[in-house]
Amino acid sequence: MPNTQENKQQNLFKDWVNLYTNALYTWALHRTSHIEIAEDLVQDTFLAAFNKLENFKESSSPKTWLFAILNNKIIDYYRKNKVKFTVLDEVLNSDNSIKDNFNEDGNWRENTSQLAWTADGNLLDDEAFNQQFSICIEALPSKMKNVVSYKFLQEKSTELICQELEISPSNYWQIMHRAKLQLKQCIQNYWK
Amino acid sequence: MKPTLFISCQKATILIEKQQDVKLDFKTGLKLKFHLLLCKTCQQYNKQSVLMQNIMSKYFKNEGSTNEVDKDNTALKEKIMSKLK
Repeated sequence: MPNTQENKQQNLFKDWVNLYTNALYTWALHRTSHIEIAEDLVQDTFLAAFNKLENFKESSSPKTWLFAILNNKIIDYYRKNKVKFTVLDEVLNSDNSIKDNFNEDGNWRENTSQLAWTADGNLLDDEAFNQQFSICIEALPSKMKNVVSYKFLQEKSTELICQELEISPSNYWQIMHRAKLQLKQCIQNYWK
Repeated sequence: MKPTLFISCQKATILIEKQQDVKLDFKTGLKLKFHLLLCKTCQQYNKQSVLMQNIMSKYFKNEGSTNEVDKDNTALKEKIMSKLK
């Protein structure tokens, strides 16, 4: 007698492959910028998921679960390939966000002080705003984006992240500061 | 340099980033509070920074929205399916 339970599971899983491959692939491509690597990561994600299907809780969303697995794979990939995050000089010197935003005295330049977008709570759930914001994140310089993604792909304290990236916390805040200045500016240009 | 309660906006905005990770020491925290009382643009930055932090966290957990790339992944799907045994 064929194991119908197993067949059912396999069919369900095939639906997931059809439903989520594109989304997973897009994400992996954003994070690695390599087509082949992105494809491999997506494949590894599905195989890993398939082998630990018993860990999946029916109550959670398959998409969230698959993305959590993929994010771990991405971090593994970063670690294994020692993706160079910490070319600090490169991150800090190649960016004009400080000069663009602040004058010699360290105060806001006049043109940046206009409050073009107001950060009220509703924006967090605003679909269009999130969409625009994701475009701005992906537009960050790649080294800076690597540090930011390294932080947010994992739920780890800044202290641990700094140890792994071999940078000091003060350098980390500097990078985050500049990333946010760039994001703020990017949003300012598109969100009026 | 004589000690002062006044800090620049550049310094204040870095402290705003720091504050989201660690508790500022009393004196530094006071300087930031004082600056924020007087500076509307930094008040605004403070709110924007926290919002950006939350949106980034959401985005990287894939709970935000991304435009999917337009690519035919049929071959990849078939390859994956063939390995599910």
